[in-house]
Amino acid sequence: MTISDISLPGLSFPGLSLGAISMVEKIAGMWPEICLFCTTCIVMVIGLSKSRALRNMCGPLCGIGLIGAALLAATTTPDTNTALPNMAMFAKILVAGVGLVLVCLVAGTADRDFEKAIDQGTGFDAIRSTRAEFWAFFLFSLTGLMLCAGADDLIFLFLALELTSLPTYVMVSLSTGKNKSMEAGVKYFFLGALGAAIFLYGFTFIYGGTGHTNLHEIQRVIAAQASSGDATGMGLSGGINEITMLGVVLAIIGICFKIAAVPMHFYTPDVYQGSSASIAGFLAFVPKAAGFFAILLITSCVGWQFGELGTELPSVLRDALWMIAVLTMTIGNVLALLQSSVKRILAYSSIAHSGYMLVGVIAGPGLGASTFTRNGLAAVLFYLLSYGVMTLGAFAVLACLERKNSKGEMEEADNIADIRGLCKTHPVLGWVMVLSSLGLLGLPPLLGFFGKLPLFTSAIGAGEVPLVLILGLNSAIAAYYYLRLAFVCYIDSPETSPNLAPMQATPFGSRRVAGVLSALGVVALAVVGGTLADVAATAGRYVPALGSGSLQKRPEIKPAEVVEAQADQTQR
Amino acid sequence: MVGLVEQLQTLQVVAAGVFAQVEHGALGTHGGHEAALNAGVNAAALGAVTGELPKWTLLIPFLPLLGCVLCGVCAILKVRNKLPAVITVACIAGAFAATVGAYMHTMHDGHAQTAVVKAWDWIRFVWGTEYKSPREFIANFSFYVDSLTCLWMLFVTGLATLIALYASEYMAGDVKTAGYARFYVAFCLFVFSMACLVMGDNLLLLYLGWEGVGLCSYLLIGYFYKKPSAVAAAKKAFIMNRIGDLGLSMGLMLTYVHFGTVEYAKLFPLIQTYLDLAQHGKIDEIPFIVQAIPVLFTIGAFGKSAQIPLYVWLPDAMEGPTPVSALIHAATMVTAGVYLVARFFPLYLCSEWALPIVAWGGALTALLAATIGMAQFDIKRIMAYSTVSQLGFMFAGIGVLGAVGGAAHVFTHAFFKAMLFLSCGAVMHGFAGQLDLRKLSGVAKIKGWKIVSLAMFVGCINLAGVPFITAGFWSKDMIIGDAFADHGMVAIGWILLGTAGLTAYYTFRVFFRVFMGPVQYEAGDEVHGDADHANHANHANHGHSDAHGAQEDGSAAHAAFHPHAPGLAINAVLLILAVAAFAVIPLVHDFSGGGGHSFWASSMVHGSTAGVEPPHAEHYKPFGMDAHRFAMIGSIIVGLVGIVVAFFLHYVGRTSSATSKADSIKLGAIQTAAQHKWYVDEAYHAIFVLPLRVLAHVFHAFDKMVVDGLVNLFGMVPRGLGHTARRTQTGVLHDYALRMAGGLAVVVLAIWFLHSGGWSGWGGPGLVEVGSVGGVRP
Amino acid sequence: MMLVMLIAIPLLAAALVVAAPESRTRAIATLGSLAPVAWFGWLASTFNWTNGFTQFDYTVAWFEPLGLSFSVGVDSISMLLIGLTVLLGPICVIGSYTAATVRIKTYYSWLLILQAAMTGVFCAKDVILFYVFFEFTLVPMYILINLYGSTNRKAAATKFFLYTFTGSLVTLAGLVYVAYRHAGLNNGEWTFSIAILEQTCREFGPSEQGMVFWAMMAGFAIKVPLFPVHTWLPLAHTEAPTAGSVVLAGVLLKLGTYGLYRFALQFCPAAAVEYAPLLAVICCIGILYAGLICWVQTDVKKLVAYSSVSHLGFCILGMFALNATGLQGSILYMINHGLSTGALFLMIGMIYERYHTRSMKELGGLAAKMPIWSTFMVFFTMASVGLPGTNGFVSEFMCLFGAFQAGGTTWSGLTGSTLLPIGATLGRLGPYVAFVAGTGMIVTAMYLLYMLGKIVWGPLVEPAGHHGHGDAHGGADEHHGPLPRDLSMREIGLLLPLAALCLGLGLYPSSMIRTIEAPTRATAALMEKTMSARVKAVALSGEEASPSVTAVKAREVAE
Repeated sequence: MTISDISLPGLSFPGLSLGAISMVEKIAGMWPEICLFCTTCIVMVIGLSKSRALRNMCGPLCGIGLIGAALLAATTTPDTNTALPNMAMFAKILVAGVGLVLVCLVAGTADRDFEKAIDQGTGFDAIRSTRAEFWAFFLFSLTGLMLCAGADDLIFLFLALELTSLPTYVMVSLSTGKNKSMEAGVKYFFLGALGAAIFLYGFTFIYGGTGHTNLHEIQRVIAAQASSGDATGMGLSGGINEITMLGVVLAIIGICFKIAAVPMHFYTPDVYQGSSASIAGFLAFVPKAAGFFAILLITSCVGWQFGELGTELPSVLRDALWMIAVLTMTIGNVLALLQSSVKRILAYSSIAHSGYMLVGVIAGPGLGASTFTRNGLAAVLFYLLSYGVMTLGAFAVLACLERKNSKGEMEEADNIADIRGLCKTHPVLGWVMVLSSLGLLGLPPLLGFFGKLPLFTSAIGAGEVPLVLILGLNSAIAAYYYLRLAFVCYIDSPETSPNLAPMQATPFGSRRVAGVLSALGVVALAVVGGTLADVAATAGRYVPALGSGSLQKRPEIKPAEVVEAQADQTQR
Repeated sequence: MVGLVEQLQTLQVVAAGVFAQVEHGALGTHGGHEAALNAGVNAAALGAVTGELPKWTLLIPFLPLLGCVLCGVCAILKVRNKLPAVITVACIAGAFAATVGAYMHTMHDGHAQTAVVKAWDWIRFVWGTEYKSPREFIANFSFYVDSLTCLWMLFVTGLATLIALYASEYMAGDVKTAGYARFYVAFCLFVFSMACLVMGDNLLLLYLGWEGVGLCSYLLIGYFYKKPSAVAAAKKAFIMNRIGDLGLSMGLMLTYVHFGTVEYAKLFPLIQTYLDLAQHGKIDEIPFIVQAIPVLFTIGAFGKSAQIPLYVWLPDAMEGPTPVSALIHAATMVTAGVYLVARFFPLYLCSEWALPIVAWGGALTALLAATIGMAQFDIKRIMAYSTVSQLGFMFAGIGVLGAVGGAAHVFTHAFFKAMLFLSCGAVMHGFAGQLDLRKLSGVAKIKGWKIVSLAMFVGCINLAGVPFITAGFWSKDMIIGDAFADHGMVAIGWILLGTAGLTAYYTFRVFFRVFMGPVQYEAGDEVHGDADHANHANHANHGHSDAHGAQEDGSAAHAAFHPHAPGLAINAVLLILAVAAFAVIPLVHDFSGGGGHSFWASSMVHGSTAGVEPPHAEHYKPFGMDAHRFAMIGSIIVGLVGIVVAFFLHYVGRTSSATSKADSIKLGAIQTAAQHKWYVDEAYHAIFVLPLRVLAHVFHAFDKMVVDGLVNLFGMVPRGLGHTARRTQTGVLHDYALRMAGGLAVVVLAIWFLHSGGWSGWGGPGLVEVGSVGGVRP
Repeated sequence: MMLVMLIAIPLLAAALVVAAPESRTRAIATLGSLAPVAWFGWLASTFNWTNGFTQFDYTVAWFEPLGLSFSVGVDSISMLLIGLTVLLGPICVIGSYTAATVRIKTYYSWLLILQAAMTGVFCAKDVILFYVFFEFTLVPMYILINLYGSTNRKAAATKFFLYTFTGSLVTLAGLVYVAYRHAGLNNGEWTFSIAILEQTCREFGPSEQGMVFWAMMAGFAIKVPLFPVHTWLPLAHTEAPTAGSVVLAGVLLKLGTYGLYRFALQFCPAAAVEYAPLLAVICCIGILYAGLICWVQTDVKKLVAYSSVSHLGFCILGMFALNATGLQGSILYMINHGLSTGALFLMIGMIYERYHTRSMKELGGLAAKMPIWSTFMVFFTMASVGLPGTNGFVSEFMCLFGAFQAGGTTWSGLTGSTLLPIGATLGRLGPYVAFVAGTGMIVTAMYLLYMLGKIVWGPLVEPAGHHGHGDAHGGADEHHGPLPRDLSMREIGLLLPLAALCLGLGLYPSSMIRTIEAPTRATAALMEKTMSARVKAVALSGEEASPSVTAVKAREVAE
């Protein structure tokens, strides 16, 4: 291992034994990913087989692989030595779980026309078949997502993020045979590259400012810098080296692309609309999840031991996130108000929801061993779950509906007029739509409400009352279009015009299953979600850097008095 | 739950302490109260309960209520005969009998006793926060019977019985419709409410009666509900009364706040302490609140009894059927205000302003109403204004410390005014709703109208106060006398004296024009306003349309239209009343010797809370003679003068119904103004109604435009933002790339500015520390 | 558990309605709405009315990590309001037999769900559970308005939903804040139990309580609705179907008043005391302003809708008298307003079914044609006017009287004595406020009699198509389909129980007052404690050495 001689100071290549953890240990932590990888290889092969029966096995295989991954994750995943040691396991199970729904959802996306052609007699041509790639990319992306959660090093994190994103570019292009998908894919790719460049740039700054790429080390160094900085924590970044700070901010803004947050949100509606509903659902969850895992990891390196309570991010970071969160939720909602395309509405709603979740990041984990209600990180993780469930339901409904257009080719439901009176024409889909949109609206007693509640509690706990009020206001604005979405299905009567073919269900029953699953989730998790919330609470456990001066430096104030003081301020 | 209980216990402790203080406070300021309250136990104290009454006293209010229910059943069962009338007469007669019985009990041995008969708890709630001795507000459904109550209830139930009888014939036209039952439902309900008003043992029950009679008056004025004028009149009456009621309710609340009770039996003993102060001329030591209470009551009284400024509803109330006008708007309901003042006479004595207000309000109303009455042509309206005027007399009477006079006048007035109205009603009934005294003449000469004319005559001499032989004379004389006797109030004496003259004039103006003179008449255009029953109406209209040809020539009308003379019931009732009018003379005057007070009415008043002695003041002696003698002489003169003037202007040499010598007297503006009731209604409309309506419209617009507009504006804001933000979604790749980069820059720079005070923070430590990072390296 | 049944029965019925064929819908819905009445009757018989405090407690764990629990329980106040809810349930269902003709399954199922939700609100003992039910009532109402309303229904429904939803989100923030502070003070132990949180919140400083108070106000004041935030109500009422209006006026508005009592007063007594005068002013404005607006309405339903704004002004005024009289009065007011105004909307609905108009220009003098209807109309109007002997009077009087009593400073100013009059309480409203509000009695009479005069009395006016038949037998009403010219037995049957209650509660209210005595007096005692504390504080701070200050000091000394 001569590389170690020329190794840059503090730089640890993943897998080389220079880092905190040896290669073997690292591998031992990645059984689920390995499982998925193996499944990927199999899928790649059988996706090319001549027998349709085998080809059709791709989807189910992916499902099996995900189940396996889930089991492995539950059993083998060790704590990472990052500031969020327990996050990985939860994240991986979550990914596997939602991944199962996704499998049902994306079924039949690839190769539809190709298969039809075969039925019409053109023989099977392995070159033209895209199914193998499609499913492989699907699993790659999920693998990347899992790796994100388990990453403990900047470079590792970067690779994982890219592993998550790169396949999606292709999937978008493959999603429908049409040019708009190509355009969407291209847009997504270039802008994604830009985003990646930005957060990679940020990573380099972080390395420059701390001299490490290992997250644990980085956290330690930052803590040291903070304690060595002027005691008041004033100045540009609470004693933390500006370069580091700049790096963190750049990294987060770059990752905003993944979570579709301002100022990186522009692509979202176009890409969602361009790709098929199933892939749009995929985009709404997977990259977002990856992005939030990354943001959580990076912010946790900086830590929440600043501010007079010792429960805040350094003011620079806090303000940056504050700005981003407020802009994201507001812009997302106000733009969604104007849309007539359901996909765009859901795209903007996904932007808005990223804004909500950032509130949890700002709130932070609270003091010491804090409860689920106070721990914003747990809230974010739980909200990721509930958001995934709810939004997949909505996308599933779209993915299940299509009509012949004038050119005689199938077109997915997209315009809000297409789902008018859905409860009468397709009761199941209709109710799925009603439930998931009411859930997204956060109407009690549905899942969305219990997703938002911890955000409320943790943010108020962190004294971010104005932020909570903005969040509330935004939910109210959002209520307008979610109501429209829900009740256009339920109340309006179906649109019947001679020149329009009637909406019909797509031949893929599994998509319907996906929708029903998530609708059930929206209702059931509201009743029995408590246990999941517990898991999220442990997953959100945050370990401050040991011996970081800022911990001793924290002024000993009874939270009550201070919060009262804050309350008075907020009241003025 | 646990929390609640603990909280409760802790609070009990605290509240106990706090409340102990209220007790203490009560002793501090109202030591008198407690004393009086204890005194209240022994019989002597003012208004305290001194006796018992059998439970059947409850029949007085509840028999009419039963009648009300039964009539209601009749209405539901669509009974289309006179059954409701029978029920009503029976029930109210029973109530009258019960009243007589109660009267016997009350007065059995020489001095009047006071009793309370309880029906059930009505409104009672504990409001004190202290748990051991809770403060309770008690207003039971129970009745307080003393001599004053008896005085009132006797003529209320008595007259009600007679008028119900009268109405059975008068309303006969409606028997075929639901109206008949409806009429008697309201009629019975009225008697019940009146009973609650007069007999209630607490202010709240009085208030119930007070608004109850208001409701019945509303329903009965609006009996001919198809006539917009009737509906408007009913509404006006109710709302005008509501204004008064507000005053009453405020007084009621103030009473409770100060005395801690609204029950007479507990209240009057407490008043006693202040009364003592007043009687010893220490009125300025009486707290402001106590002095304010009667003033507030007065507002209520003026509303109900149609005094300035709230009198305008009463004349319009004549839209109702005549028996209603007779019973409610002449004899009973409108005297409720007088009753209130009489009942709380002791409290009025405790106030510097209350009695003068009452006196002046009464006197001015008496004068004003009389002047208007002189100029009207509608005989029923004239009677209405005379009622207002007479009520003025009563208030003035009490106002000048003559509670007896006031009460006595209420009593006599009830009889003769009822009689007058019923006579007018008979005319109206017979002449197809004709009420214009220019279109009626010589009724007395027509066959079958003797008794009516007689009754009318008796009523007129009473109202005009023909000396010695009429009850009206004595009671009115008593009031005027008291006015002259009271030093401060001599001016009122003169006003009343003048008014008495006017009264005599307008009364006989009616009599001479309608009942005397050449026989000439013209049918009205409907049968007392009720379009519901066709038979009369058509025939009346028929006659009327025929009469059109020769308006002036009554004979034409005569040929076409035959007035139907009143039947048995009406005549009988009129006769009874006529007799009664004379029969009550000995009850309201002491013939044993000059101006003594040893007669029935006086004893009834003196036996009650109204009987307290006013603070003694030396009598004023106009022209050196005793006030009452002077008053008597005065009223004899003015009364006769009035009648004589009426005789010459309206009887001597009158050839047609339409014209009289009076027409030759031109008073110009004054006359027209008086005919238009001095434009008071118009003024009210301009000053109160119109601005309010404008304000209402303004509010409505404001609510739509501003209040709701703001809401919608807020609703618009997100959309507006959306439209702005939309511009960034061009769908062009390089735009997006540019905006992402720009956004990045903006965020970073924004933070930079926020935290380093502009560019000054640039560079500096950051770069330096890069070197030092090495030092941090492990 | 017994309470859970009360919530579950309508839900079950709703499920059945959806499952069963349309021919059965009405029968099931009727049974499903009558069953709770019976069940409630049984509950009421087992409820211990003399101790009015919370009973029938039942708790199951639910979302513990969030500190929630599904815990229900009722005190006498909740019981009365639940009684009102279950009573109006069947009346709405049966009242809609002829009104709702399309998509009746949807209609009745949501009606039943709405009833369940409202019952839940009154049962909830957990803040979040309360909020869940409170918010969920929006959906059924939204659907009822949006599906079965008249012309402008979509806008009305949306405004109703968004307006109230926005407000209550702020309320939620306030409530969560209290929970968070509780956790802060009790080493991180999260709970949303009302009984516990109210204890915590009372310990807050005035400014903090004020913050919580106004946060709660944001939600509840809109729901009540109080003066400046009332505009959704007339719109919603005019557009809503009859049953919707009945429920809206009858119960939904009471969620706001109930919330104010249960939260604003219990949680933040200091703030309640602090802002009582301000709220009194708002109420007085509301009473007169809305009252005058009623006076110039032409749409009779809008008139009654605005009258609700005016009436509930009295209710809240009584509540913020902060003494037992006012509190009892305002709780009675909730019930009575539910009965009388509910009945009024029901009767307007009956007219609308016959004439398909609500405009008082096109309707008039119906007494000639519909005597029975007119009789009921006059009766309920009088109950609404607050005529003594009807229920309206009792509550209106008690609210006004409560406000009248509660004039600590004013009274000692008037008496010039250092001690309050025997019948007065501490408090910050007093006679002048009561007088201003009292003028509302006159305004009420003005607009309600104006309404009577237009549609009941006067010459018969009917919209084009109904050629007027003034006389007793003009029968061109065949095209009303199932409806007779005057009320049918069914409709009379709907109105009779309401009328009976209005009269019964008017003539023998003490029975009901007694049941709410204990809890209201406990609240009043709490308020008195808070007020005397406040007055002392003021005295110490040396400002306005008002007589009432000395009065309270005198009390303290003797303690």
